[in-house]
Amino acid sequence: MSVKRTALLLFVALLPGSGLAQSSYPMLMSTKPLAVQIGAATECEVSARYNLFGAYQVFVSGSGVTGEVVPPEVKPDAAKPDEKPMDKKPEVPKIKIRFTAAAEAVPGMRTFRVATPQGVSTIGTLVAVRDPIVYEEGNNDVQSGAQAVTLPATICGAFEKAEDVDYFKFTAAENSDWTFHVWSSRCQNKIHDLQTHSDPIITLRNASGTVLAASDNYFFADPLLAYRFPSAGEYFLEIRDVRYQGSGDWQYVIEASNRPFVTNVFPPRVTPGAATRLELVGFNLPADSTALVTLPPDVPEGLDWINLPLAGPAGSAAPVVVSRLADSIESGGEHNTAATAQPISAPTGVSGRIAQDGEIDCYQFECKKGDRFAFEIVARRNQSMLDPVLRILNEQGGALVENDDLNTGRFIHADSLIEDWTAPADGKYVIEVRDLHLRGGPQFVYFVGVTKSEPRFVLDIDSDKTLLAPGTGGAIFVRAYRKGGFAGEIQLGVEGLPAGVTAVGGRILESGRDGCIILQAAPDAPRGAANIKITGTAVAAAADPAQPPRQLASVAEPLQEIYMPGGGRHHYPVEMHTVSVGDVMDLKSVKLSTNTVSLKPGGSQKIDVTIERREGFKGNVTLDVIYQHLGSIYGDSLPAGVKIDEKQSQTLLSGEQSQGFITLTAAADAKPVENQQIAVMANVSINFVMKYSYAAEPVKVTVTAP
Amino acid sequence: MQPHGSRPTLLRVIAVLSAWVSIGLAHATAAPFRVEPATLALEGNFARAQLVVTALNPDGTISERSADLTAQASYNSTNPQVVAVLRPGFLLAVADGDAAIQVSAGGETIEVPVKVTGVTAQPQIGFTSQVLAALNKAGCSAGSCHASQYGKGGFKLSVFSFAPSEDHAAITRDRQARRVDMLDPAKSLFLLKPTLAVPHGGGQRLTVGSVDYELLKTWLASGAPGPGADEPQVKSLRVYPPRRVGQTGMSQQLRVLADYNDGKTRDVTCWSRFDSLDDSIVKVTPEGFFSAGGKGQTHVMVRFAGQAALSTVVVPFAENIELAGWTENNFIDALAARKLRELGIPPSPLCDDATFLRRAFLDAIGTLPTPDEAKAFLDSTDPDKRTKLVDRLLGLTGDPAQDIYGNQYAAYWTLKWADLLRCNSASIGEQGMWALHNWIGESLRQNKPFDQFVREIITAKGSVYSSGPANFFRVANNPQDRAEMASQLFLGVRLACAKCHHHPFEKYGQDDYYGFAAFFARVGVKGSQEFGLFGGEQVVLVSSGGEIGHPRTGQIMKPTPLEGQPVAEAPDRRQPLAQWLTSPDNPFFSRNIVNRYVAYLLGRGLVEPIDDMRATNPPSNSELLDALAAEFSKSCFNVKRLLRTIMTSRLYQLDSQPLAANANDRRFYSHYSVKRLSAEPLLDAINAATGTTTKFKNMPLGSRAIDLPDGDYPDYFLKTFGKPRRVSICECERSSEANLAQALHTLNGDTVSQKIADANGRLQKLLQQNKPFEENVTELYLATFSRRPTADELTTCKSFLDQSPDPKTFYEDLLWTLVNSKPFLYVR
Repeated sequence: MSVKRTALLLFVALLPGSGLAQSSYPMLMSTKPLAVQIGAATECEVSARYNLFGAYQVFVSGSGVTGEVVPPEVKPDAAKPDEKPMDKKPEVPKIKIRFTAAAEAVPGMRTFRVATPQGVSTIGTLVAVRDPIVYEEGNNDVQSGAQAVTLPATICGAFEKAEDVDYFKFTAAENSDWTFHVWSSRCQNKIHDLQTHSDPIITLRNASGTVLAASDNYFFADPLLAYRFPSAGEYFLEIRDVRYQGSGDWQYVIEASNRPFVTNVFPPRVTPGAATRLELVGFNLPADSTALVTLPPDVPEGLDWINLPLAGPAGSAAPVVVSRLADSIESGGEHNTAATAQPISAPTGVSGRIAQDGEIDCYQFECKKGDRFAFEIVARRNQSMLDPVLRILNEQGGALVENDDLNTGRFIHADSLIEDWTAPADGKYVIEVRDLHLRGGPQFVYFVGVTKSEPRFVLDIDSDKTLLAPGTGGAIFVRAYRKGGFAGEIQLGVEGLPAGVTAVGGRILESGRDGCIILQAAPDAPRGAANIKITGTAVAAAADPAQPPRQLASVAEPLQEIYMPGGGRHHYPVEMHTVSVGDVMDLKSVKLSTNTVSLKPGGSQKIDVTIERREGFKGNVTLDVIYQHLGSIYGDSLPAGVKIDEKQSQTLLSGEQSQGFITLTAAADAKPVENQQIAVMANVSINFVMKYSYAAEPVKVTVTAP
Repeated sequence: MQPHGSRPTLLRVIAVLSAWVSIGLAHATAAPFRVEPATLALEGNFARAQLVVTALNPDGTISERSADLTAQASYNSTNPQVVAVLRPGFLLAVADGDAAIQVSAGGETIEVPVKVTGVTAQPQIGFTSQVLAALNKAGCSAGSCHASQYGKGGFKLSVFSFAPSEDHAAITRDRQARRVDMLDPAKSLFLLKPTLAVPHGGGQRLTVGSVDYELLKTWLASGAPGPGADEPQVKSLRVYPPRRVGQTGMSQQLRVLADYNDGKTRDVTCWSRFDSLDDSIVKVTPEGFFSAGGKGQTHVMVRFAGQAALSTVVVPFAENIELAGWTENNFIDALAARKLRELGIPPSPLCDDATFLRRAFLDAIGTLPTPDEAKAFLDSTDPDKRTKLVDRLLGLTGDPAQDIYGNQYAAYWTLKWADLLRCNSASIGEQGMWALHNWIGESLRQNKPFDQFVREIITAKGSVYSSGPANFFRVANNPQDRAEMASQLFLGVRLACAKCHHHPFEKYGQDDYYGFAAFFARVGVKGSQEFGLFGGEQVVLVSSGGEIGHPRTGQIMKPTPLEGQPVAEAPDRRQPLAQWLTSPDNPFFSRNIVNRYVAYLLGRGLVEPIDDMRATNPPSNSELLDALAAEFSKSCFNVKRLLRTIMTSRLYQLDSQPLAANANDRRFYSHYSVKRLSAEPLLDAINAATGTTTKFKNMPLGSRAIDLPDGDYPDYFLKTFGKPRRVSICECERSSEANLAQALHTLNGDTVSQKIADANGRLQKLLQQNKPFEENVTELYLATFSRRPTADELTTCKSFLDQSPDPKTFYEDLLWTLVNSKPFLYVR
């Protein structure tokens, strides 16, 4: 089946039908134009699937860009929750948002959400750019109808329909250097639209139409074309989807500029508070192609984009790795084998570059038997061309362990990670870095974090938003990935809730991987929305019993769910988890007969569940205590050995039914647990794959000793 | 113990034969002929050799035209108990000793000393080197006989004996060993069948008492030993004479020598198989004696033990012809003229300017010239206008104002290479297809050196969306397919046969096949999410492990170039392959590429089929092929320069109208070879002539057919005219044949008629302009034939106009006629 047909089927599957939810949050589909000029405000038209009626707040990721809803013609009645079903509300598929980018804003993509009475939206995208924005106009589908633009400019437009080709004409001076950088596919890949995305290609032509240069995929599917115009004259820029596919939602941005365009810096790593001189890699660079950078001391570690202090016009943002590890930089000498490896002291952060085809970089470190280390290469995630392969060798060059792609369990990156490697003996070992394809060049920079494997954990949240109405509850499932030998229990907490919303943080049991947090909106909670932060804390015993236990903490990363052709459920990371309190939804409440369950091994207990439907809502409701889809479990905070007894439960409430029950049973060998928090959820399908989950007040499950 | 009956029977045969060929002796004086070889050594039982007797030229030399006297000469063995003469010039070792063969012709005699060694009473017969050789000669191991898929009559041998152990088992052990009787070898079914002593579906293949019969019987009597590890293997084959030139009626006995890996050279004429590559010119006997019955150039193919060699035969159509008015624009013309003179074929004169203009446009950029372009060229008096046109079409002027055909050039040739690289969304997905298509186009637009183009394919890696050539490894998704594709596309070597058995006409066997495939054994594919979760991106990579095993022996094959030695292990095995493949020292590569381009421009390759280059399929003009290949290599594999060299040659500019004396020539380019426009350029030409466009699936209106990136379009016109679906690497997938469906479609189908009647088309616009009759007709001729109408044509048109009910009807009929005429449908 073609991708197009698959996407069409998915689209049809996503349409709400009879028996499904009558409420749905807005799914943002596009932003037009897809850019905001730094130091200015840009009014953008944001379109959505489902209803943007009453949009009142905009959340923008990162720093430097803000947004506000331009008051729509149709306003919500009041701040008071509205009980009208969605189909009785005015249909507002598009709104205007005025985005403002501060002068010091870093260029690049931002994500944003829109809060509405129907709930907070999925993510939309926007690009902060330096040069004035022009939007395509008129019929510019053939070269003879090309739209005239003056460069530098940020050219915005859309692949409005299949076979759409857009032409722009401009003049360029003799021997002038320009870059044409497209944002489209990368922006759409953040959109929760469940369909294929654009794959742009740009082509430069002269007045006769002869192709001068073209670029298809540079930053993943998005092009970057650097070109020196040999003679002064009129030239044409063509942009299209490489497959000639199109959609009104496929917006693009072309940064047509003669500013410095920095693709990479070397070293790619910057230490907060320390001045670092960076060698710039890219196009149209100034005569002094270096920049001295000092980041504030409190900048968090990780990947970042920064403005570079350059002589002359400001350029593009530069990708850096912020790290506080001891600094090591690849030396200039030969170190391509274990025998010639460059000595380093672990732990450290090594900045290196595979400078030419076939190059291999080796670093030697010394450690004791039983020392445990983690090695992580940051390259592709930092816009490097390097697709790294990481190996740990013994001193003689024998391979001990190898990793190509980093698999987090949720997604796969081209970067490499070896965790919890244990030195088999006292001695010297070698970290070997190469490109999978044995390529190299100035843009093949990398950073290797070499850290001691210590107890820690990483959390993610299987949702990017929680939608509440006054009096309703919602569950947030948090999954833990324990590392460095940590195996303990994790307590969950939440910060930044909107007014009128309370939370009961659960825990992730030592024997489990998931925990849940139950949010509850008060009956009089005002309409509102806020980004929250979910944190996990734990205590890990020190390796040396004489030492006090270690306090561990981690902030959870929100994930956006996505459904694949065929119905499979996947995720991608987003920067915000937003909680909103909106209008009354399909269910007004979920009540339980009890909030405590005490089970003996082999025993069971029934929980009666009563749902209150909004008037007129007769869709099916399913009850559950596990967050699952098509048999795969995405959130399960039940103690080990405890499960639903399906035969002794009534979980499907159809038509006007409002009473059901769930029976929990404990296996005969279930281990004792006290007061583990679980969520009793009432699920209402939005479409074939997506659903709303309403949660009752928390239930505490205890398994007693036999 | 004496082998059963071998010596007595053989001696009787020899005595009779010796008497038969022993004709009167003459005194040894300075003979007007020469015998090859001058001395002879025969080693072992059943050793045989062929003498070749050649008449000397008056100056005492031997040339290609020297007459063969082998059949006419008489032969006498000075000691038939040592060496016997079985037939003219054909000798058999009988017993150890020294003797001489007295060769007489024209009243003169030459004595050829012969030394026989190694003849014993209990000879060891080599299974591979002798038994299988005899079976091959008898035809038993042919694909049409016992080497067919299921054998014949329950007896199965390997094709051309590529699997000696299996053959030995089939002969001696299969069916409870019923085929052999080692106590009484003559009663072996193995001998009774081919001698027709019992019924045999394959007819008589051996004669009782013949040398090979005795050899096989001796082998059986000695216990029928199997293949020996120390049996010598053939390294190369030579045939004498390698080339003969003469008149009809000329004859020649061939002599075949094999060089073995034990350092010895043996006469294997008796076991060689001889085939004429053109029976209408030359017929050859199983004994290697050919006679010329027709005129032209052909070859006798000689095969033995997996090796092949050729003897070229030239029978000129006429002697000492003059190439009237022939001038040489470049080396192509010098070498072509040499061949034409040799064959006595006069070339046609140069074509006229209009013909050249249209030919050059369609050949270089697959596009018709516009009427304005045609007028400008026809009206130009510049004596260099043809060369300048070629430079403009190829974008070689250096002036952006003139180099305006780059898009068409890239599109047209992308079509060609996308066909061959099987750029097809059905197999590599839509984005992969576009990536490959765009990469080919960009490579051609840049005129990327062809060796670099090929290296980038062979060593392709990375994202199949971002690296177009990486899709090569999805089109061919296993080492075997990749090896076959790479060898056929870039070397012109069809390796596929050698996957299962030794190539029937080539020296390649399974060792060569799997050694070559081993270069691709470590190419793998991994998934990636860099194009989004919906992206489905795949990344072609080189794994650290992966091997190819020999299907029969299970041996792990080392990566080995064809006819080369295994290469040292490399991080990416494809790197040494790419270096070898595209090396200027690799004659396969440049010869294959230039041969393709010669075929594209001149209508047929110097070697045909153009992707089947092998020793047994020689070029029609090997000197020209070598010179073009050398020039291509010297130019750093510059394709545009190659095109320019060919297109600016006189040979390319010859008229397609044949002369009476060259009308039968289809191989030596004595006149331009008329070609039907292929599907896409033809549709574009119809659109250009009618001033219309065709809407293609998933392409914006205005896209030309030569721009189409994919293999499969639901377009009846393109399908009918042979647009390939790109499921084969064979050039033949794109049909160039004319057929009835094509004629019916352009004559009666709606494609042409609708375009002619299109309200926005050329004709309607022309009629709206109310131009005079002559201008209208002239524009239509320029738009279709790229020339102005002749006076006669104008007169004829005027008479038709006068007879038409209205001008519109006449002009529609005229345009329909022009579009349906051969001058439009063909490149002439």
